[in-house]
Amino acid sequence: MSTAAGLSGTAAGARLEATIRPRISPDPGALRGLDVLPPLDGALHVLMSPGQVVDVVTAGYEVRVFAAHPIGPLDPSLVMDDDAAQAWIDERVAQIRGGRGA
Amino acid sequence: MSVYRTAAQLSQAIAALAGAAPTLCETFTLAQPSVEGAAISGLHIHAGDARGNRNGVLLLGGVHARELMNPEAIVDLAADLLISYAHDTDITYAVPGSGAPGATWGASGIRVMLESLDIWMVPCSNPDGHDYVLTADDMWRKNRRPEKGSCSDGTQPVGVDLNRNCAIVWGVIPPGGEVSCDPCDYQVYAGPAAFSEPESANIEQFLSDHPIDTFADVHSYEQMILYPWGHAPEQTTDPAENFTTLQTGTCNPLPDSSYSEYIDPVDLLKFQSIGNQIASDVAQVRGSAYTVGPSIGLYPTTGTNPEYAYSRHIADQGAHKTYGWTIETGPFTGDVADSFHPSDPSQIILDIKAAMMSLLMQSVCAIELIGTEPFGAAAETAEDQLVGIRAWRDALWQRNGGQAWLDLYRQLHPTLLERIAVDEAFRSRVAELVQTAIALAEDPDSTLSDDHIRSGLAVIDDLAATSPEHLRIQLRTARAVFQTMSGFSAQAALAVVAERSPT
Repeated sequence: MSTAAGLSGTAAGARLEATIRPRISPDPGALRGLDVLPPLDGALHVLMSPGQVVDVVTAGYEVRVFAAHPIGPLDPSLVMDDDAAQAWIDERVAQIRGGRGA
Repeated sequence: MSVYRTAAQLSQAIAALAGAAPTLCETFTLAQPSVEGAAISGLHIHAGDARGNRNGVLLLGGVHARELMNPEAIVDLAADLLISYAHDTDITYAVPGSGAPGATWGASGIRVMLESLDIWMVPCSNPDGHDYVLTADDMWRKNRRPEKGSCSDGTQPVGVDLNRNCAIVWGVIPPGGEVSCDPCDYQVYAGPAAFSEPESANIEQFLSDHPIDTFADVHSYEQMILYPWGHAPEQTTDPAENFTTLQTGTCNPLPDSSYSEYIDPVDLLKFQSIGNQIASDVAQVRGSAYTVGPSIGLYPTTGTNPEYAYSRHIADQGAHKTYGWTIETGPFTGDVADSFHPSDPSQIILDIKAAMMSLLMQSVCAIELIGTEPFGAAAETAEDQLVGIRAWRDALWQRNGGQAWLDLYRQLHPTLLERIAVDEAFRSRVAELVQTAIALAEDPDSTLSDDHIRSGLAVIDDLAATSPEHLRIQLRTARAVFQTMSGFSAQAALAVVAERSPT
């Protein structure tokens, strides 16, 4: 509970990446609504809010939080601008032109 | 490194490809726009003369918004195919220094494939969600449907998981399953009804309008090739225990925890065999280890696209049979954001394209292609011709020795396609053999003659001359078996083959 309370106070505006394992008389109902990812090292692997950490720990699970992801758009440097998108098109179209079917 | 296009840019890219190769492909638009009104477009590739009996393949990407690599890979693959066809160039996906040899498909085989299939590609089936990831929330997964009411934090619920919204055990929550009936669920809300969402209803409509034989929904991030089922373990013994008997929309687990879903045993073997070949082809690129198994092996689900596609012919016996696949591309890199949309996805995209290429190449059957060739666009006549040899194939699937022969055929298939594309004499010999097989299948009293045996041995020797060593060994066994069969009826020959593995 103290762990969850600490996270609750520091992780606003972020999703917490965590693994979850059963501890004492776990209640599976507490796992509903989590963003479940493919399993990691045999454990349930999730993204969750600080409030959900509290709920899941209270429900009898051990939660290991190992990353925090700010809620926001994709890193703009990863988004292709129109010039780059057009360059991709120009390169492929040039490679197709002059051949069979073009 | 700017790598991810907006939904509009992806549409512009496929429109440009269609414009550059107007006799090979054209764009198409799915029946309904997205919730926010975006047209959802795709590319239809169908090279060569009109044929009435092409196998249909549908490749779908971007169902889950945050899985950004897959729309890029599908558009990239379309360009690679068109360039290959235009200039008779091989396609190789390789990573120098990885220790893997690279995966190569020859130009001639690609040409035959493109002239034999109807390939439908929908790179970005959830454009609203896709752009929301780029502009607001990089972990968004669902579409952007606003729901009524408010959640416990006072916000309005938004979005339906489009891969939980299909009419296959819809709204049932398997134990440990990733499905929810709660509109406030951040990721896996199944929606208010099956196909409530235009983006998923589009898939239902498309499958109803087009005979699709192979369907692949490309997701991230786990290196897996998945086949049905997702809602329960499979069983092959009791056809009556199947999903049509299950109540849907219960928002509860299945009432019987011991329930297992029936799958036709031959279909299961086909899924496993084709999946293993896909994994093998992907491993050639840079050594990635994809595993093959039922969808439930990832986690239990209901309402998914591939399971729905495969279920259609069971729910409605008049529906076309579609083999439904999920290609889960990865791997997990240690960081969830970097796994869904890595800053440099170029090597993973090579894996994805290799997986799709493998599936496309396996969607062509050289024997069917040649067997139906004389009938051109007369699809029904051509299909009638194949009934007998398809029955032989299905009989072989049910015997261990027979499966080994079919696996050998699958491994030889790229070479076979290459040779029939470039070598007219070889093509004629194969065509003669296929016509002989069709005749034998039609007349149970006919037998294999010495001439039949000589023709068959010539084809085997031709294939052996251009095959790798491990296949040459199997072909030597094939030769030894085949040359003893003069005077055999088709059924007797089939019995011998089913008992004797080539390995």
